[in-house]
This record gives sequence, structure tokens and C-alpha cells, in this order.
Amino acid sequence: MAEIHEKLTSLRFVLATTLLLASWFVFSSNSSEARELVGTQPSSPSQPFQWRLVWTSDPTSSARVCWSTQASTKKNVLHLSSSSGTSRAIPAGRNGAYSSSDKQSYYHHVTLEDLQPDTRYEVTLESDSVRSPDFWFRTASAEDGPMSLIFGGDSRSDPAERRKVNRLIASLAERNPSIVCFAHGGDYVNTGSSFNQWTQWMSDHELTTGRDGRLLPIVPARGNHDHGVLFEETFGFPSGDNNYFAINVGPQVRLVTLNTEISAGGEQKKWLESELETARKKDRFVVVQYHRPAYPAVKRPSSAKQHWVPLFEKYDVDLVCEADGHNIKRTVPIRGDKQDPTGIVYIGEGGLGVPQRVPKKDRWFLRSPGLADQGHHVHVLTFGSQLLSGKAIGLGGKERDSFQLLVRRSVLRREASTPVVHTKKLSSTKRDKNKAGG
Amino acid sequence: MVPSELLPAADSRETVSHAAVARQIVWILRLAIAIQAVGIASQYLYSQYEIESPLFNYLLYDREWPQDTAQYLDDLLVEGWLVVGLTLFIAPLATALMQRLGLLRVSEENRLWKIGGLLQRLLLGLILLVQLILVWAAWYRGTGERFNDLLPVEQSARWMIPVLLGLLLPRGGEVVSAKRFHTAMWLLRLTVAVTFFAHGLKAIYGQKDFIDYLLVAGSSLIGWEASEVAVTRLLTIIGWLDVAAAILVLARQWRSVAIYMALWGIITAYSRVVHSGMSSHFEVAIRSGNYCLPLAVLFYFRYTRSIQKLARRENAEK
Repeated sequence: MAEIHEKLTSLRFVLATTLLLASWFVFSSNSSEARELVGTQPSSPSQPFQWRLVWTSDPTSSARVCWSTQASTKKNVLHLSSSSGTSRAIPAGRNGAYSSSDKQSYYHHVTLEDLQPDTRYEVTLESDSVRSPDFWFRTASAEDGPMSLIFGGDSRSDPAERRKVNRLIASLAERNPSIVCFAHGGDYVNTGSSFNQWTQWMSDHELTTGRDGRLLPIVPARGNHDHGVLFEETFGFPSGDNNYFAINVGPQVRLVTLNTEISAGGEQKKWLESELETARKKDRFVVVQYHRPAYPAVKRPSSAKQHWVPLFEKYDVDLVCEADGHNIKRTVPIRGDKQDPTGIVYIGEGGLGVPQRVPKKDRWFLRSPGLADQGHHVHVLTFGSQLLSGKAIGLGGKERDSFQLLVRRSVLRREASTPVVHTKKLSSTKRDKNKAGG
Repeated sequence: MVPSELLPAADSRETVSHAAVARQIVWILRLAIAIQAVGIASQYLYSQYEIESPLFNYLLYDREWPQDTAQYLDDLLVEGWLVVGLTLFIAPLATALMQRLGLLRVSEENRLWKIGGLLQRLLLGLILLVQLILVWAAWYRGTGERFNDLLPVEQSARWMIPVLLGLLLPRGGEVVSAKRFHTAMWLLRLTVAVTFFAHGLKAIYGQKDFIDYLLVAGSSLIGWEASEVAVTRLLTIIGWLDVAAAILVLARQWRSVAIYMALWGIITAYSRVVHSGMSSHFEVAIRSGNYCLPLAVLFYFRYTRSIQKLARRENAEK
């Protein structure tokens, strides 16, 4: 009896029990990645599938088209024709095998340049004489006028819900031709190094293509789950790219995409200040998107709060789009870390498929007139001559939130004194990694 | 030369002196557990931006538990951790004070004393279990994130505290044996070494948060507006220093290394507050192991140095 008592009280026994219980947690977890692929089921290994159109540089004159094949194909070409009758065949500038330890599949990237603004282009992909269906896309306009974009984040973890949201995106773009692109705030997959998950995402992304073949350009931000090279291979970023850039999605709408997965306070911050200073002087609306929120509905503030929010406030950014929290949120206007009618509104926080969280509504910036809710959704942002309107649209097309933001007074004064004329090609700026330290 | 029969037996002197330093180290570990428990409770329950633990996220996203149930279990574990952590510090402290004041007379052979010892080990086992679950859940959910595989090692200074404390607590009325004491001290040094090694690796490979902490610390504390390149280089140097300290704390018993580790542990813990403000104060508390364990190592190195000095003096007298 004394022996048993001694054994029961020994530290070794306690440790062994602890390890056994911990092991139960480890080995009983669900981690199966085998899932059915929806989207195009290639009829031959060379058939192009998993197409995506990416905007990371001037969308009035350029675009990147990416697609996959199951086999290594020698001749990969994009056939491009415009309404003016010109057509050309552009070989893929970058081809390779996705970085995958098991399933093998190949990516092909074509960078289109010298395009005309606000022009419809017909696109067909071809790999080793096997062609995709016909698609089309429209370049961004260089003429001022109302336009819209869709924003969302966190499409990971639940493919079934993600497909529903993707179909919603396609239907919204069909009904509203003024929607020019889809800004994604990051976290496309759960495990950034898992090709199985990326290939599933890419197949599901096909569902954002309209029934008439319209390719909706995606403007991708990087999330904390998107580590590894597959992110670059999916969206055609150069290897080692810092993944922050800014483009004019409309002549008066500057969309700045930042990367919360690298230093927020270093070179990116310097670039951001320069970018915002320039953008605020010439663009009516400046919108920023990135992944980890500065004013989160569920988590803790990211480094964005320390390093970027002061710049947003200094340069009067109109709207900030965030993700990562897995809910619907719209903060009160914030300036100096308190509610201020001249402040900045932060929306988000990721509802493209990820299971939703109950937000912490007691956080001061989420109280009325702010909003915190949960549900799969996208934000549709519409930019007019003096108003930025936003709506959170849930599955089934239900409106979950709406808001309006007036254009900044400084912009009104500027536009009143200087008419806006667009004759030149618009610019995009991108962090050039070759200028590191410069 | 002192006649050997007048000297206490070597065993008994060793037993008494190592027991004394063991008691000091036990108090350091108790304090570390209590501070950590307060930090954990702040992070997950009471701070302005309280969040949920990795276990909650695992239950919600991977096991698809209802959010309310996952939240309830999460809160229960954290509250339990707080109670247990504070109990492991306050109860022995109160007992010791009452004994000192003569208000309590409990001998080490007393049954209550033995039950108290058993209870402490059970509570330590519970804390260890919860910590291992949280570390595992954080590692599991972070699969694919940079440096994720370092997580269990990087946080060893957190979850090894209950193991070390459990080893150093006397069994019943006995003084902790010399064998168990030295085993615990090797584990202590190993824990500190792997913690610093893991952090050193992250620094060498340019962990983004470390870069931002240094940028803000440099700017706000000494007015140094450094470039990211300069800070990254400095971080590489710091990383190698950490790796060197990790090796030295095992290979040598240099007090200066332990002092460096204790100071650097608290400085880096506090860097989160410098970066993000007082709302991140719990980050210092959660990392109590990062500075308390090197402090315990320092106490151990002082003890071994004293023993060596005594031995040299005795040899000289012979």
C-alpha cells in the first residue's frame, strides 16, 4: 500500500500522465488535407485551369494572368485580343512547378503590358495546344467616374463556404459592372506551405469568374497563414518580393496594399509615408488594405497601430480595410486613438469563407455608431465624386452593414481650385527590393 | 590544517548548502509561476485587448466546437491557472511567515506537510499539462508560419518552470537529494540555453517583430532613427550573442553569462511595452521564465563557486 502511495505521488507518475494526455490531443486531431477539387477538372494534363488575373501594378495598362497545368508544358501562350481588332500571342514569361512535396502541378504567368485604359480584352490560355475557355477582362479606367471594388479577407479553412462567397462575388460583379477588382486582405489558405490547400483555393477562385467569362482582377495582400513561396507562385510575385505596393484602381482612387508579415516600422513605413504624401496630393480617395488589424474586433492590435496609423492620420486616409479577425466590423472614425468625426474608419475583418468569430463588441471603437457582427461577407466600396459608400453583403445578398464617407475637405478644396484632367498614363509604385537600404 | 574529525562530513555539508540554494531557487521559481499566471490571466481575461488562447482557436476552428463552449473551457483553464499559480506562491509564503512568527508549528514529518507537498506537485502537474496543451495548440495552428517549429523550444522557459519546481520540492520531510538537485540544475541550464538559442536563431534570421521592437526602442529611448538594414544587422549580432550565451551557460559556470541572460531576458520582455505601450504589460509577466530562470542559474553558479572556493581553501589548509 505504501509502495503504491509512493508511486502515485511520484513526480514521474505525474509527468507520465501529463505526457499521455498531451499525446491524446496530438494524435486525435483532425488534419486530413484530402479534399475534393471543385472548379475545372482538366480533361488533359495540359489543359489550362485555375486561372487568375492579378493587379499589382498600373491596372490601366498592365495585368498579370496566371494559370496552372497538371503536366509540365513546353509551350504556354496567352492569346489576347481587344475590341479594336488587335490580337497577339504572348508567351508565358514565367513557368515552373509549384513547390510541393507530393502532388505535382505547374504555374504559368504572363505579364501583360502596354494595354489601353478602360478597354475590354479577350483572353484565351493555351498550353501545348490545349486551350482554355474564352475569357475577358477590362483594364482600369483613366477617366474619372464612379467605380466600385470588392474587399474581403480570410478565405481559408472552409472551402464550402468559400465557394459560396466566390459565387456571391461573381454575381455581384455581374450585376454591377462598375466593380473593377477584388481586393483580398490575405489568408487564402490555412497552411501556406500546403500545395493541397493552395490548389484547392485556386480552383475555388475560378468561381469568381462571371458566367460571361469575365475575369475579376484580384489585388492580393499577404496574410499570416500565407507563408512560403506558394503565395508568390500563385500570384506571380517575384521571389523574395516584399508584397507591398499601390495602384490606382480608378483615376481618383488609390489602393495601397501593405504587408503585415514583414517589419512594419522599417523600409515599408518609409515607403508608406512617401506613398501617402504623394497620393493625398493627387487622389480623391486613398484606401489601404492589409491583413492584421490595427483596431481589431477580436485579436490584439498589430504593429500596424504603432507604425502605420499615425501616417494614416497624418495623411487623412479615407478608409482602411483589415482582415484576420473573422467577423464583420466597422469602427467609429478614429484619430489619436479616440473617436473623432474627422478620423479614419477601419472595416473588415475577414469573411470570405473562414469560420466566423463573435466579435468583442465592448471595445470602444466598435460601439455605436460603429458595428461588430459576424458572418461570411464581402464589402462593396463605391467611389463617387464626393462620396465613398460601403456595404457589407452577406451570403444570399443580404446587406449586413452600410456606411458613407465624405471626401476629405482638403481634397474638396483642391478639386474646387484645380479641375481634374486625365491625359497621362497613371502610375503605380512598388517597393523595389533592389533599392533595399536606399 | 584542520583535523578531519573536526570537520563535518562532506556529505552533510553538501546536503545543507545545496538545500539552502535549492530553497532560494524554489522561491524564484514560485515567483516566476505567480508572475506568469498573472500575465496569462491579463492576456486572456483582463487586459484591454484580451484575446483567446491557442486552445480556444484549436477547439473552435479545428474541432468545430461551439464558440460558447470553447470560450467557457478556455476561461476556466486560464482562471484555474491564475488561482493555482498564485496559490503556489502565496500559500508557502504564508506558511513560512506564520512559522517564522511562531503562529504555526508544522514539522516536516507532519502529515499535513506531506499532503501539502503532494498537493503542490499535483498543481504543478496541472499547470504543466495546461502549458503543454497551449504550446502544442499554438504550434499546431501556426503550421506554415515562419519560425513556428521553434515554438515549443522557444517557450521552454515557460513550461519547464513547473517541472523544475517539482524536482526541487522536498519529498515529505526530506531535504531535496543532491542527485535530484543537480539533475534539476542541469535541466535549468538546458532550459535557459535552448530558450536563448531559439530566440537567437529568430534574431539571426530577422524576425519581423524583433526588428520593429529595436526600431522603436532605438528611436524612443536613445533617439536613434535607424534604418531597417542597420537594425537587421544589429539583430544578427544580438542573435549570435544569444547563441553564444546558450552554449556558454552549459559549457561554463560563468556568473557574467547568467547575469547577461537575466538582464537581457527582462529587457527583451519589456521591449514589447516600449513598442506597443502599457496595454502590453502582460507580455513582461508571461515571459517571467526568460528572466527568472537565468536568475536561478546565477544563484546556482554562485553556490558552485562558493563550494569551489571552500574546497580550494580546504586543500590549501591541508
